[in-house]
Amino acid sequence: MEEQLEKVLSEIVTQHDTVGALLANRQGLCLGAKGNINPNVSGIGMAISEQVAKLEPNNTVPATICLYSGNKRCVIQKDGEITGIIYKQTATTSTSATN
Amino acid sequence: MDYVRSIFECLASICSCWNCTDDLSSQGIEPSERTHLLADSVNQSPALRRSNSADLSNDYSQSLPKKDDQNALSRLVQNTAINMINVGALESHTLEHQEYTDRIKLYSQRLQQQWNNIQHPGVVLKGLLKDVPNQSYLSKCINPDDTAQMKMFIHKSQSAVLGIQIDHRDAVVVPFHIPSHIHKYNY
Repeated sequence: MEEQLEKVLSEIVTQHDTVGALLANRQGLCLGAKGNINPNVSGIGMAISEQVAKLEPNNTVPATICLYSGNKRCVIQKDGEITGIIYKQTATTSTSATN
Repeated sequence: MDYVRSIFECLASICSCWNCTDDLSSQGIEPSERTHLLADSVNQSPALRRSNSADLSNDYSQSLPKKDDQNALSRLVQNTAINMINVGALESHTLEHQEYTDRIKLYSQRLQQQWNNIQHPGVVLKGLLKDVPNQSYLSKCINPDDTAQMKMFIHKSQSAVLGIQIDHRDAVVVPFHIPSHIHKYNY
């Protein structure tokens, strides 16, 4: 059934600094989640990516969103029907200013 | 030309009505559901003005008995008025072609003016935050590693999602376990 998807998620979670990964469908429903990530964020992740896509509707390249919070960050991208959300955490506390 | 033709057609219909009313009046038709209730409409019709009933009665006074003649004439006039369309009254509502085109021009001009005054939001604002100058919302660059990782994740996921298949292990059609005593009652 969804073994391939599980495999992809597991592979992503093992990568450097990555703590969790999630995949949402067009309706914002969670298709699969792995690692330290709440499956309930699939809807809001999809909604954020849709709003960001409205900033430049003529741009064909899918927008990537990065939310920073301390040493953690959340990367969101919507390409076509699916939205991917990745949680990342750096080992050393980041001091970079965000606006 | 159409206008003149319509007048001719109207006159022709009036003439045919004269004939038919002659036939009807000669047969002595009684007032029916088509006879006008209002006497005024008869007086307003131009047919009455054209064929003055007094003149007609004078012409035929010798050939016919007087009372019958009056009756026949009044019936004739009444039937004619019923079958007639008053073109003179319609004329006030019709527009000349020149006036018609002038009005079209005027209305389209006014529409165009109003259309230009409207701010079209769909055309002016394409996308969110278009009123913010210098795209200040793109202030911080995203780590290229994150972008690359996400790109790879999405790419692999898309093919993985397409590969999702339902492998049903149970029977698709499930029989209802209807108790046997119901069968007994039915048969």
